[in-house]
Amino acid sequence: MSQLMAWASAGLMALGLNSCTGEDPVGYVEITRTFPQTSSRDTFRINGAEVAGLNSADPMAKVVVSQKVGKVVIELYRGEALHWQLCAFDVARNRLVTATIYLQNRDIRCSVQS
Amino acid sequence: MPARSHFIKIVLISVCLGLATTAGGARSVAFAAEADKAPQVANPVDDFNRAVVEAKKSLGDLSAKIEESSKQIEGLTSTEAARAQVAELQSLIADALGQVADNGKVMTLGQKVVDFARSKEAMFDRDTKFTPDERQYLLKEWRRIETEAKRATDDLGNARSEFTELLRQVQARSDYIEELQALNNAQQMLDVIKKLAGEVRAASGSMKSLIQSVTAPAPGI
Repeated sequence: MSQLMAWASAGLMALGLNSCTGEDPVGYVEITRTFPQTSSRDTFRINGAEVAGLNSADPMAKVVVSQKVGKVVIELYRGEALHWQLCAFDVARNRLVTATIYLQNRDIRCSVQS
Repeated sequence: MPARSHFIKIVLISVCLGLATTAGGARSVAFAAEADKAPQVANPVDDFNRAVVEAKKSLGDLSAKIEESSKQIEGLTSTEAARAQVAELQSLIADALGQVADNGKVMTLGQKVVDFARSKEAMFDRDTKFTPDERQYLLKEWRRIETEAKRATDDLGNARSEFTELLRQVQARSDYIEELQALNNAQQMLDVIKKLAGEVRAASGSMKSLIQSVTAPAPGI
């Protein structure tokens, strides 16, 4: 019983130490916007965080952001409200996913290549 | 017994009162010191400069490690060891990309410096406190800092593009190696790995000089 307790404590300590390092594995997402922003109220967000580089006035924009390993969602917000979920995909450790946001028949769309 | 608990209560109250007085005193001293100075917003230029110096050092080290790792790959004859080395190479390039990602520390601080310099320029455009010469000097210096910070972030942006391309290339080769592994084609796998090592070394060399050319803005004022 005491051996079981010792193993459990060691496990918990290892878990604690691991969480203290604060280094979650990350992957990268390269996002390209291929058209000029249609509205100044539109903003692109990745997992809820605004991607400032994509909201410039430039006719085309490209950013590379690190993201925690797992599911990633790119959304379009109009003002403060969610307007459209553009794409969702998985990011793996040390890997790059390329997402292209483009305009098709006045609709904003997203394609992903990993 | 009641006398003892009464004594403890008195001691506790005295300690609390003492602490409150000290804290109050400290607050009033700090307030007096603050009142002497003009209101200041935290200046992000020094933080950005420190971050650029750290990033340059770290990228230089990583670049050397990438070159070293690709050299080692060329000498390997076992496919398992070569695959492990490619995975390490991919990890090194990913770490380098993390240093200059758009949501990383350096780029975020760089944008803060640009925004801060712009706010200072707007402030001195409206200013009536300083003489025209002083105002002109301050405006000129903040414009210089803004330009230099933009140049530094642009240079790091170029490094980001290079590392992104390199990671894409290594990833594609690594996936192809997996496909060859599925076909059990060991010799072709080794040929691909060795060719990749040569390409990475060439890219790493040009990246080293790119990283060396990055300069942080001098605070000046």
